[in-house]
Amino acid sequence: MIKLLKKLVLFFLAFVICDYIIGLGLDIIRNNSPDGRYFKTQYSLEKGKEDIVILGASCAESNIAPYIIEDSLKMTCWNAGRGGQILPFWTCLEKGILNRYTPKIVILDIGANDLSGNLFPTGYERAAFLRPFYHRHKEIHPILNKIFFFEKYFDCSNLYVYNSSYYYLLRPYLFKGLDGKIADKGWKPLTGKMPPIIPHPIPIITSYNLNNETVQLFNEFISNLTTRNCKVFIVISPVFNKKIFTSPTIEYINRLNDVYLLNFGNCKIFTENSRLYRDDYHLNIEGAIKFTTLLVKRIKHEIN
Amino acid sequence: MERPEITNKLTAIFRKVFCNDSLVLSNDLSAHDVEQWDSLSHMLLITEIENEFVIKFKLKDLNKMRNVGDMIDIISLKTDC
Amino acid sequence: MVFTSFNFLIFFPLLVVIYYITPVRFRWLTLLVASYFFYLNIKPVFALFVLGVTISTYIFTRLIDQTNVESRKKSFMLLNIFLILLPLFFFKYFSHINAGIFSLLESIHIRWPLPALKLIFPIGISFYTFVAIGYTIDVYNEEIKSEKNIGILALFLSFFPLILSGPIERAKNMLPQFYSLKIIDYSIIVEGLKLMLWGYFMKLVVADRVGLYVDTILNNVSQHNGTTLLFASFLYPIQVYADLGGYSLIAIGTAKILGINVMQNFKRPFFATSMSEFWHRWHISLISWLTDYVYTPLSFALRKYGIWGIVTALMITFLISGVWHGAALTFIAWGFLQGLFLSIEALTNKKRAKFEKKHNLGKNGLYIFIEIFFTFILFAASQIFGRAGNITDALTIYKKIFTTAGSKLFIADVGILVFALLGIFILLLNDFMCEYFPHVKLLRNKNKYIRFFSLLLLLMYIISFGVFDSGQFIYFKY
Repeated sequence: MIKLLKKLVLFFLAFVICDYIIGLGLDIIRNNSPDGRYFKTQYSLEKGKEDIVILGASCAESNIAPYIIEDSLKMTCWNAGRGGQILPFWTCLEKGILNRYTPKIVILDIGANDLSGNLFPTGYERAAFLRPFYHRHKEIHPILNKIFFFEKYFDCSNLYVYNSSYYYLLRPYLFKGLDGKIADKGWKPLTGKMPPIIPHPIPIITSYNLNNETVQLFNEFISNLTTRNCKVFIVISPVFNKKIFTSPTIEYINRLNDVYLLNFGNCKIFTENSRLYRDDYHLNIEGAIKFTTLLVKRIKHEIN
Repeated sequence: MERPEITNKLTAIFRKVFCNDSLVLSNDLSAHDVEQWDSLSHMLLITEIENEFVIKFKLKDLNKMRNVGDMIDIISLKTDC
Repeated sequence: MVFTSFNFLIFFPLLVVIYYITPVRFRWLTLLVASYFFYLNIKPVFALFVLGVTISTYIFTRLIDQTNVESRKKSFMLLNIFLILLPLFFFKYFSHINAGIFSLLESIHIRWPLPALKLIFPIGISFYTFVAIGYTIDVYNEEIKSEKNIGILALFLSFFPLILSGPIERAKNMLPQFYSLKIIDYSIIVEGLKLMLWGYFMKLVVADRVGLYVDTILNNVSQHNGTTLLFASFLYPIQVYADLGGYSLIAIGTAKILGINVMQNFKRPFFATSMSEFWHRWHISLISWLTDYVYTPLSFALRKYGIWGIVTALMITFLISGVWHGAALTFIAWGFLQGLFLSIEALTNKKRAKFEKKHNLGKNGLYIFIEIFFTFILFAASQIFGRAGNITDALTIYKKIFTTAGSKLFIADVGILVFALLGIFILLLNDFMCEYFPHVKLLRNKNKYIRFFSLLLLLMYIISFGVFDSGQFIYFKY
């Protein structure tokens, strides 16, 4: 038994040493990433000081072009959207940003039913994308520690926090620009277009009740910004061949006094024009330029 | 029936069922030692043995057959009655 | 609590400590309490079923031993089998049969509102029911005396490493071990840990990662082309091997650390050169159970029909195997295909042996490779039914494979697929080395530094590439 314990201790020590050394190497790789999703996330958390920040999932990342906003509003703009992510991730980015400065405007692109969705377990588990930043960013701990009970203990390990990140960590060193070029300021322009389809838009299903926990986190997210006099614009992106008039999420946001709701869900310029889309949900470059131009007009109208 | 006679007849049956003229039986020979001896061929073997020795096995006899030695013991018991 | 939950990583070391400080003669009791604790943590009410099966099996096997009348022995055996099959039948097959009767009545315009029950399936019931049936039959066949201590029997049926997913063990192997739980040495504990670690590699690094891709494709059959479906269908059997094989290794390693030897459940199945050899390497505990308790009695009863008796026994055995896996038609089709492949092999056995002997193909590397590949294709083809949600999906997959092959492969998330394939490569490389170069070892190398660093590397690989939560997902649109 003593022999076993000795060997286990030795093994554990060897593991800790290797874990630390490899972790140092991985941090260097992450910090020097030429571009890509880890570069963008790190920039959002640690460096960005733009006047306008765009948050959201893949629709935010691909539908909104910062350069158009910069040209029109004469303010700097950074697109911090990340595909597949929802409120827990956005909350983490928000905390990282607010730790350093307060943007003048935040544009949050959400889905028409986002406040009805359950955050557990998927929403929090997807935010595990931020694990490589766990050691340097205490502000993201409250969210990430909710992933599971032992999260904070396992996150002591560098190998664990970098779990499954290697492909996207290393990809930018071989293939640049796949998640958008640096000059695009976080925007991920999508090429290609859908085949010509005659649209017959149908209303999306909106019979989902609001999820209390999601609403609570959303309220916290909004008040963190509005109490710092940051203007918040909630955007509902158009979906091809769908009509989005209203939903419990949209109605709830409408009732809030301190945010601006810009619902493009029924904008026929987009919803009936397959040429502007790469797929049902995501605008291509042409569509994104057109959409951002329209978006900026609406924002200008609200703030003047 | 005497064991040598049983062994001789069994050898012929084994060689026929497994298509191996050089197969030599020993008391501890079992399915692990013969490449084609599996649960599929085992039943063909059993049928040939029953026909050759004019005996009928019971299912319980099969469970007691771990190797050729056990097989010879059971056949000997049945042919003595 | 399952092996891959973090709760188990707390539970098991604690149990090992308690186990080793328990006096030897009470260790079986520690294991029994731990086993029920383990099972209760999944869902408390499930423990009632395993308890019920235990009590029924105890009573009837004691009755079998205590009577001399053959017909009574048989009745007790059959009654116990019937009683303990009832819950399995009810939970596994009730809703399917209910739906079947309902649609049959509907087709002849009879609307009879049959009660539709929302049943939560007691995990592991298929396994411990088979264990109990095997034990009952062994007692009847006088292979083993009935266990007098109901606690030991309860432990045998609820033994936590095995209760959820097997291996399906035998009383002859397990019961004597529960009576001799002695102090075991360092090397056995280390061996158990190595088995567990490799099991975790198979499950977390290979099975769960491959599953991310395979599930995306095979859950959306209508949206994918023939090439993609073919590729996913090739990956699926490897996913299943890594999943069940990995889980079995964790179970075997766990038991080993507690001083219990459990049978091997997988033996490098993708290096089998025929389907009959495959079934000596794949889910060994299930197939040996079916061989001993279904195939042998059936083929024995049908032996006067020669090879056709064997074929019939094979078909019935594998149909039962299919139904054991699930009540849907797809599992029955799967079982039918296994029986068919084995029957064809049995019928052509002599011809193939002659052909191989004539052309001296026994040790021909290319011929062996072709055999291995062909066997894999056959199994993968049958697994299309095993995996599909329904017969329509399975047939759609077949149709698309043959009509739209050569179309572009859908990759989904490159990161997930790359590391899935890397994991598969490592797994199959390990199996290849164990099969053909068994003297080349890393984890069991003679040199202690090689052993130490191989283990360290393996642990680091699992932590780096294992799938621990649904944070890993295919989000291919983005």
